[in-house]
Amino acid sequence: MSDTHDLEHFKKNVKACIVVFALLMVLTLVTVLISFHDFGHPHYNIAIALVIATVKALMVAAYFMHLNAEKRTIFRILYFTGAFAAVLIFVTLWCFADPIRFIH
Amino acid sequence: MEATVHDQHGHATDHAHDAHHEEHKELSFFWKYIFATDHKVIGMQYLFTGLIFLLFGFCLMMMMRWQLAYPGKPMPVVGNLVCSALNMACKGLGDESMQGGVMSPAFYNSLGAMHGTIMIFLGVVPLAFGAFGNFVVPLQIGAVDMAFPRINAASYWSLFVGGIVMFVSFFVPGGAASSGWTSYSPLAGIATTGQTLWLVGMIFLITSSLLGAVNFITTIIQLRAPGMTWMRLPFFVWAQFVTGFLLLLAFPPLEAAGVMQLMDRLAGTSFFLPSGLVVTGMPSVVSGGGSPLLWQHLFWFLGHPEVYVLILPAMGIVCEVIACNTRKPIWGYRSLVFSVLFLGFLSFVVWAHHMYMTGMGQKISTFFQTTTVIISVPSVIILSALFISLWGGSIRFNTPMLFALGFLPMFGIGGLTGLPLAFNAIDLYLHDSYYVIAHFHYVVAPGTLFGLFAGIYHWYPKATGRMMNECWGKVHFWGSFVCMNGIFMPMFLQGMAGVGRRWYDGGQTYEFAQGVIHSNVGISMSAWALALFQIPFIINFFWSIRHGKKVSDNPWEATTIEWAAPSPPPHGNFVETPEAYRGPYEYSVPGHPKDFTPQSQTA
Amino acid sequence: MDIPYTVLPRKDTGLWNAKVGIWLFLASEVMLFGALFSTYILLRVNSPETGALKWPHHLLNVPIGTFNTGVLIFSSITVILAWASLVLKNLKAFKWWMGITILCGLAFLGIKSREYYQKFTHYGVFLRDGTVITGHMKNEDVKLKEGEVTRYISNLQVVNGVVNAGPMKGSEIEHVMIAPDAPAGHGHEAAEHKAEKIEGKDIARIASYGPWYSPYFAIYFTLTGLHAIHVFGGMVVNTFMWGPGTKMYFTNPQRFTNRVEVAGLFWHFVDLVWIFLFPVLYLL
Ligand code: HEM
Ligand SMILES: [Cu+2]
Repeated sequence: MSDTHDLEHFKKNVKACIVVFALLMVLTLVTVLISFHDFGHPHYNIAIALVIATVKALMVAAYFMHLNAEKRTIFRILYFTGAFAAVLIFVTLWCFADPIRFIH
Repeated sequence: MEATVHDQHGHATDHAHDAHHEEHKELSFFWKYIFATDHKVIGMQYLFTGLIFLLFGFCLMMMMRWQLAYPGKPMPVVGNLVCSALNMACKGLGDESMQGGVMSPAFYNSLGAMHGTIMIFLGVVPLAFGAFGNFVVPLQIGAVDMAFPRINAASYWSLFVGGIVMFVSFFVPGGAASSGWTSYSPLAGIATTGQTLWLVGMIFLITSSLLGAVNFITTIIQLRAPGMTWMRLPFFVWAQFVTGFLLLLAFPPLEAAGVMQLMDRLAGTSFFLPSGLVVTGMPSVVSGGGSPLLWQHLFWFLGHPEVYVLILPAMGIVCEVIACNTRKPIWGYRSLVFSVLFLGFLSFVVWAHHMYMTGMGQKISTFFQTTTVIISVPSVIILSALFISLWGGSIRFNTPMLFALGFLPMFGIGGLTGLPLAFNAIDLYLHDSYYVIAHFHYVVAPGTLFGLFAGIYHWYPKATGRMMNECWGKVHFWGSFVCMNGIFMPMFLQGMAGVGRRWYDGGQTYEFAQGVIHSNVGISMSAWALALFQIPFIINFFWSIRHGKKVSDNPWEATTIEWAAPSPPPHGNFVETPEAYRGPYEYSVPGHPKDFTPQSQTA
Repeated sequence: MDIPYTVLPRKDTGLWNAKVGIWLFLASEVMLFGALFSTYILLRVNSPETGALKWPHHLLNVPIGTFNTGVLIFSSITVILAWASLVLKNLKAFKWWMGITILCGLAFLGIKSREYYQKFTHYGVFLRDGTVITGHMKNEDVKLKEGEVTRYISNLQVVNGVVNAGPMKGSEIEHVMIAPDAPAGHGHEAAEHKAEKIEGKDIARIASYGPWYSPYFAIYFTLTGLHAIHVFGGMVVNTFMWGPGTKMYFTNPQRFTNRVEVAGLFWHFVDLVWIFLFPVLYLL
């Protein structure tokens, strides 16, 4: 961070974080409001809320945790983690969704 | 989150100055030997803790073997001792468990569950990962220490607390956990206090492994010496690297599951308790709505990677020992590395092969059957590469090499007998039988344990500057080798005849088991003889610390960097920062004056 | 002897040690919460369409939850500003922003425990016909049968006359009085209804809105409880940085800045988890 160019860049990033903060607040309110709205089926509500939450989470990761400028090693770790977390959640669900069928 | 040893000392002394001037000296002793941050000292702490628990777990098993060989007969001497010890610790517990030296079914269950738990989480993991990982990895990559020495110490002490909790659980009303090392709910949800302690203990053990894993992976990524590129890492380091990831990513789900089971037991939740649960004829008051199968999923999501945690470090050790004692490069270093990575990856998608009996449908069973069969491929590659490495070598049959050579066929038997279990049609028959016990013990007992023994004999001169006695080492090896097979080989037959695991009477009351139960006596005799053959090892181990033959820094004439450090290595490890100029196994390179070229040698 | 790369990054990876360490640790945290979310999904999918264990909707106090979410997100930006001040060599600003962060954490936990308390003092009476009456009760509203002291599955126990948080069986109860909630309302402030009397023989079980009440409350308390422990842990670290840890700024400012960055990463992660917890527990 010694030379001025880096410092400028850094200040810009911090400003971006403040914008992100405002967006997060807005999105939170949006999630709350639409949870009172009926989209026809609860599944739609769930899907929309989760999409918004994911967007928010990505924003936190990318800006607050400055993953947008992180090194390859970190990403590699996170790819694997993401993959295994998905496996844990979805394959487990799949097991429950595919019970043995009894033949009468 | 970060730490250096310097800092550590800084804190220690500051503290002493602030608070108690006169205690300065004691504190520095404390920091040096008890709350040590040097990776070698911590490695030793792990080593002793692991060996003690290994022995303890083995003692539990020897008691069970009495009951299996002579069901319902009073156990001579030991029976009464255990009875009165338990009575002393908790009134009436001894009479419940071992009255007149006769083991009760409930106590048998406790012993079995705790044997499994202790052997795995307090015996092999601390040895394979904690002890060898700590002592050897920083030396092999040419680092001064682990990346986070204080977290390293915290990891050990967390393990220590976990071990104490597990041990204490034997002496609470109702005895230790008795729902198997797998602690299936709802059985475990309604078990006695011992189960609560089991869960608390596990949470400490898991925390320990997580801290360890973070530390190991960071160390390997960050602290490799100059020139030590990834493809120049000794295979042992690769094995530890993958092991670290397995622990890091597979243990947290079990930690979550442990917390939930604890909630089920203490806060009346129903995570793993189904609706309409009836306990001893009484409908229970829990809300229900939970799923017992969920516990199994979360448990085996750890459980399967855990078996690779048990075996990979041993493979790594065996690889080092074989390369050194065949005096030639390991065959297929790259394929070893890629196999171990692939193995680590796949081990996260095979877990439900432990659950074929739980009513999974065809699609999902097929999925897990397929992944399980695929995962056997890298294991076979590793084993084959190690076998082929022997080809044409001028083998030195010293004690570490004998154990490493013993590992190969034993792991082979364990692995190959696992293949039938991968197929769900066959597993439906073999599940929960002694066949399974025999299969995985071939992997973890004559497999992993032999690997660990090889490691102890191999690195002993590095840690102490002295050799262990060869002759007694050979007695140890051959005795153990014969006894191990005497124990586990007959179990295959028992299992195929239908004898179930966790049976209190070894099958006496089952007609179909009559043809095979007589081997119970032989198995038990072998187990007790195995104990006798550990005595030379124990004596040899302690005797050699003072009286073993003094040797140079590199007595085996090995190539990897740890042998460039003095024996024993001082704090900070190397006299000058080592540098790696070549791959790890340059033995008998044509044109070189000696038959080994150390990694740190320039030309 | 010095461990390398504690302050400056290693060339080939471009990272200093603690950065790698914290991300590895967070990776394991992802798996921890992943397992709990997996449990959440499963319990929810398994829950019945109707009846007492139906998955509730908007049961928690949404305005309070929203406010708390705001508090946590705000603390995330303040921790960034704290770190940024350090990078810009402004220790005083750092102290301010970090102080605010810690206070936010405190506020979050305070509000959360208030929410917990409200739940613990709210009851449901599960009738044998499968319906539930929820509302408020006091100790004297429960009349147990003569001499009943019961032990339940594992260690929950209800002592004569006092409705502990834990559930109790109808067979031990003479009768109870309960002031039911207003129908379909989410506020407890809705006009108190007259207490109703329910006979013990009609009751299957009584429970307060604790983890034992239903699978929903089980996962609610477990998830938010674990999250709260994380918040607390983050606060301990932050407080250390704010207080005694600051010493390092004068000897090794770069390293101290790294430390604060790492503490911040953890804090953001805690925030990130809450971003999922809030909708799945409060809104859906
Ligand atoms: C070398 C001596 C050993 C002997 C003689 C031995 C013997 C046995 C026997 C007979 C059982 C079955 C008990 C039953 O089903 O009732 C058993 C179970 C088990 N053993 Fe070992 N074992 C040894 C070493 C080990 C090691 C080194 C490990 C792990 C690293 C281990 C892990 C287990 C586990 C996980 C179980 C299953 C416990 C359960 O049913 O919950 N054993 N052992
Ligand atoms: Cu498996």
